[in-house]
Amino acid sequence: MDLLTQIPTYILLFLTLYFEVFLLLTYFEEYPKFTLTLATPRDKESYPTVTIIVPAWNEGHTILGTVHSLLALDYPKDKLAVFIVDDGSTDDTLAVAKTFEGNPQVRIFTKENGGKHTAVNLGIVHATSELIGCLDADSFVDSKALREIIPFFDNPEVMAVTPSVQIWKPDNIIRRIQAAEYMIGEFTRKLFSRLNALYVTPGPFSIYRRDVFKQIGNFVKAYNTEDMEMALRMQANHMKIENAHNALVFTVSPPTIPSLYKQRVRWVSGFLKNAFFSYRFMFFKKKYGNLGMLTMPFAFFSIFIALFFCALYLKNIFTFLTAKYFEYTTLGFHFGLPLNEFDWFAINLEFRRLVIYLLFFCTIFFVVMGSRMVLRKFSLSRNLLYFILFYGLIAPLWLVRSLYNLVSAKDATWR
Amino acid sequence: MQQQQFNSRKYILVFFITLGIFAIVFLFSDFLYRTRIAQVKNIEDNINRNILESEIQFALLADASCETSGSNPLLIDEINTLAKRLSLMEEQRGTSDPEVMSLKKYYSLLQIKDYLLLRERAKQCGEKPLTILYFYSNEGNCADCRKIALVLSKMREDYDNLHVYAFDFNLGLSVIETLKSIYSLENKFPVIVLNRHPYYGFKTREEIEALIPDKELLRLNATSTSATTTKK
Repeated sequence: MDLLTQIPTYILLFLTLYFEVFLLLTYFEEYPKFTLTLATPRDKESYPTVTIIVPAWNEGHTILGTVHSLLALDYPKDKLAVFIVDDGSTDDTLAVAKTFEGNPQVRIFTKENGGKHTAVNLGIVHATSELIGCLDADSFVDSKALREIIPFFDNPEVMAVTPSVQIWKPDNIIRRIQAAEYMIGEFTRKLFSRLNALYVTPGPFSIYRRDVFKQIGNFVKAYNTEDMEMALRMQANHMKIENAHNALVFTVSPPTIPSLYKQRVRWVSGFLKNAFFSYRFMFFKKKYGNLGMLTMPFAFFSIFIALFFCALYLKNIFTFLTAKYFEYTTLGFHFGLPLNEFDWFAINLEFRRLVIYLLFFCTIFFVVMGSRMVLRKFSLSRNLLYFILFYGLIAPLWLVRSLYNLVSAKDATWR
Repeated sequence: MQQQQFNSRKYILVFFITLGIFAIVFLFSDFLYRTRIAQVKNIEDNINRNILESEIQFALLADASCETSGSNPLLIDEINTLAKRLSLMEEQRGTSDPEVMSLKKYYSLLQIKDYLLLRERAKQCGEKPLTILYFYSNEGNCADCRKIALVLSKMREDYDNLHVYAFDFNLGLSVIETLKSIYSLENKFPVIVLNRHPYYGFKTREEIEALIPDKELLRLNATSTSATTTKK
């Protein structure tokens, strides 16, 4: 490895390790906040009124389950309203939504297609409740989810609460990879919330005080990542966002690489553009706390760090496969060394490799901690194995495309 | 539930913890590296001692030592292990690591010493050991060098009495220069020297075996079969 790649490697390794140490230290400082004890039931009268908006565009096959899960929430019926907003669907979304007509908790709206943010905004305009939430029409809530979120609003400073979003029935490799990734996501989301540094209020079931919209306005298109922009706008206005890790929400994830690619290009491009074009002023500013000083800059630069390490991973795989190809073409098929002849010299224990192994163990720790929070047990499932083996191979696809979108100012589409 | 606000002391503390971890990992990596270097040196010392012992034994007993076996299987095993380990270290630390290069030079000298001893013994005892000198270059992308190295390693594993000596053309050792001039080698890689005749370019196992006289190949096959049977 020449000097040209050595110096950036050391810098990137140091930055990544710094970030992981920061998060781990935060975890040990805030350990009691990661409790799995569910919220104590409270007096019915003390629950605030809540409106959940379900924006839907061509979600005819999932919206039924979404609304049913909302109606099954363990929450006083007279305090919970569900607004279904059909955003000009061309499938049977509206017809399915109309099956809920007559349910006193449900209101149905329909409008011309204008994008998710316009659908949510229509719901906000009609909502009169103290709290307003949103649930994507491809997601489902656990019956206890809302009860877990409400206690965070006892703190008058908290303006929004995010749930723990997990993958609904991971039934193939692509979804299993995402399941492990979402577990890391939940653990880090909780840590970021402890640092008051969340920069996304996910579409599935983030709940806001109505005052948020009064004070800083409704959702905007924001490169098709309105939930990210809303969180950044709230942080820019020093509004606190919390995470209720015991509030479980399940989302139907993309089942194939092309659909996952499309989703991630939208997310990553949206984050990069929002961060770079609209909220760059928050970078490295103490007045925006840990968000400005740590999580937002690191999330931005982590795209480049991830690309760098993915490239290294791909290079190693390429070298390994080339060596195997050489062996095969030269000697024909033969088995490698038997285990008892394994030589410890074959393991690369060079400094940079050791740091990478350390970071790798940190990642496993994050998945295990995430699984504890979601599954309520420590688990090393095959989701983790698939994640370790394949994530580095597919992530560069959307990272490269997102960077291209950032540079070329191209917009990523929803579908 | 109070959230943490920006605290510059925590940022500084994390910086020093990270620096500390970096330092510990660096020291640990250096310790492992030194351990490996020491192990390689130890093998080289063993080989050197073995060669020296053989030389002394040969000088002391003169012709009588011809009755003992021509090749020391322990020595061959050690040379093979050393070759593998040096190759792995070179792969992992690159060709610019001075310590690895120094060990490689010493290994090359030991190989030449073993080769000379084998030749001397062959002359005195009338033996015909089969040796292949293999020259390669780590400069540039010599795919054929990697391929022929695989073939030779496999042959070395399969034939106990085959002596393969591998030399890096660009190691800057004067003895390698001397070997180059003895066999009038050109700067083309890979090249193997078999029965004092250089053969350039990649050769399959079958092609190399075709270059070995039938009688010697039969002898190689016989010894390897008997060795395999004995091992069982």
